[in-house]
Amino acid sequence: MSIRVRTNYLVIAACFYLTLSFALAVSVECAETPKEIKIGTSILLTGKGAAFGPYMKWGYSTPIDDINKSGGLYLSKYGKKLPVNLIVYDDESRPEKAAQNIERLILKDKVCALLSPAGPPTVIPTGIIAEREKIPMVAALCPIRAFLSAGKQWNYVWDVFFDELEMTEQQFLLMDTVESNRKVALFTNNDPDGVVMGNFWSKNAQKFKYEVVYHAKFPVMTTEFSDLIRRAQEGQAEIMIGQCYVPEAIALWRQMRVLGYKPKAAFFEKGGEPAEWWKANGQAAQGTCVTGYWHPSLGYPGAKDLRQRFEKETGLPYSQHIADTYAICQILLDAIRRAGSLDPKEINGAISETNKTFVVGPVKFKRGGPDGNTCGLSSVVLQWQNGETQIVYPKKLATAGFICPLP
Amino acid sequence: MMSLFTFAAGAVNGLLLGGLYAITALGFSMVFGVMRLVNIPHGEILVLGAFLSYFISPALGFDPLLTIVLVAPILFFIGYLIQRWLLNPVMGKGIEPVLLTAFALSSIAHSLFILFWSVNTRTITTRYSDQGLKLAGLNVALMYLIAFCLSVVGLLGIHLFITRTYLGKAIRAAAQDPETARVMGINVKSIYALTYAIAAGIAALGGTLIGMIYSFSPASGLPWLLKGLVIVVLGGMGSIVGTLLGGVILGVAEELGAAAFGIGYRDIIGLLIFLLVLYIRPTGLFGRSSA
Repeated sequence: MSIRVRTNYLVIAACFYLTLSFALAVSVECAETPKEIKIGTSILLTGKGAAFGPYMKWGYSTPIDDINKSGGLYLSKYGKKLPVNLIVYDDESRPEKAAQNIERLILKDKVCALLSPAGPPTVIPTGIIAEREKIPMVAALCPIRAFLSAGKQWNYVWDVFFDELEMTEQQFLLMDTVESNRKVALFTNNDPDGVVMGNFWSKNAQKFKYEVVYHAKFPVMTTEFSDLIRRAQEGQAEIMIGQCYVPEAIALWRQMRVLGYKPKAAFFEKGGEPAEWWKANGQAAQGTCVTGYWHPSLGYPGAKDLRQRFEKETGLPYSQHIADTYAICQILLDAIRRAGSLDPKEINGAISETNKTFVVGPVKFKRGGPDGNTCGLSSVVLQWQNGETQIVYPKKLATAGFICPLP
Repeated sequence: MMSLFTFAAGAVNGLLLGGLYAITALGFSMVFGVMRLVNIPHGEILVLGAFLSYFISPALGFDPLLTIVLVAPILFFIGYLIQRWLLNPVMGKGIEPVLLTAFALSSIAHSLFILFWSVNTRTITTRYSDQGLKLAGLNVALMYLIAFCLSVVGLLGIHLFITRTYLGKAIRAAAQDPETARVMGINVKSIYALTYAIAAGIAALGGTLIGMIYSFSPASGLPWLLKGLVIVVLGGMGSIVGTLLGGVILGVAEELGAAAFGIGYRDIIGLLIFLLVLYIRPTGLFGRSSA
């Protein structure tokens, strides 16, 4: 073979090699650059907690829709904006369904991060799965003590909600501002929330020098409360504190009126919060209270606009849960942006360093220790007045006077 | 130890509640007695009755109890269509097709309720639905008393219909021996459709009362279906008097059980009685043996 022919062959081989290398490099680069940022959630669109579903769905999807309108979230690792894809599954308010959904999101849908379901019965089992698979999850609508009662050291799951230790003091602090016989009747269901808060109320009653004359503990979705109400009446409790779902609360409040049990003050935690409560009871709900963690008047950035925007877009009366869910979605998106990548470990690290004020207020997670991975929101007492909730305690934040006794 | 007052209050409350239980279970009992069909969509039919009263009552300015006059025919018609076109074609082809069709109907109804009316919990409120009254020193809900009275009237009406009218006799004949009834010229499938329609019409009263006494949502059907099953077993399949007594027995057992052992045992007491009766007398306390 002449030198010329050999040289030609060498040139052709080099060109082929270069072309192949370039093609491989491009394909690898394309495989490494994701097309979107996948975030998943399982929420209660149906089932016993479905009253909270519309607020959660709106709260989670709105920041993502806003980000996508501006082209997506900028990730430094890829040097470009990527659209965010929120995958939503309905868990029917059932923990086992929520767990299945979260597994599916992680293993099949390959999400890089999660937004939590609602309530300890679903947050805890799904959190355990997220921990096992090392996928970060930010939780809303899960009281801090119930979250921590799982007995786990959380590393990948983060909770932003009220702390029951503080929340279960508010009722007594408010009642200290008015006259009463300081006798309390508790009505709590056997959900983790009910159990935890029931215990705290019993302890706090002693601390604030109130007497729990009767503590009714009932299964979830109880409809008949007559016997329990009679026992509370026998104890002559002027303060009634309940922790239950909306259908239970409606049945309980109605049967209390039927049996002529009218305390001076009535607190319906969880059940008395959504607009459904007022709609079902009408004027009979006037003066009932619920402890909250957010109100449009609190002055956090975007709080007032959030309410207006929600009501305009959905036609529904607002609930404080739009704020918590909106905020944790913002927290997660902010963390992904700061991480600059879709690596779950890096995102998790960025979440842990969150230190910013969102629509629910300042958020900075506790690191390590018994309260690690949590951020407690300050509690206020809300009272239903003419179809809207008003802050009645603490007085410095109050938007209306406390109506007591009940009309 | 339960006090006499608590016992009396529980017994009276349970008795009155038993009336409500009975009327909500009556339709279920009729379908089971005539067609040997576990009417799984029965819970959803009750819920539909509640929804219709909930919307029609304020729209027309009627009392919810008066809207039953409109709701019952609507449910009657829907029930007729269900049996005539969906269940009749699969009856006689084995138990599985019928049960599966019934399950499917129940799921479809549940999904449609959510689609049209959302998952929110609702109540039917009137000026008297929250009132109580004193009976021999005991506080009872006025609505429980109304429900009991209406239930007795409803049950009596159905009893007279079944025993005193030609159509009622035809229904009884189809229930006792469908083959012989067919030979005697009775169109058994039409009778089945009519029975289902009547059962659905009765559910209008049950559903409205549920909405006025408790609350309801698309998911409320299943608990009432289960109660209906317990009452049918207690009272005897197809026995109208048995349905009333079964309802009362269940109501009293639940109230006294809750008072004695705690509210967590309320449903358990009812189910234990259900299992006991099923074991001792499978045809129910007041039912007849099929032999």
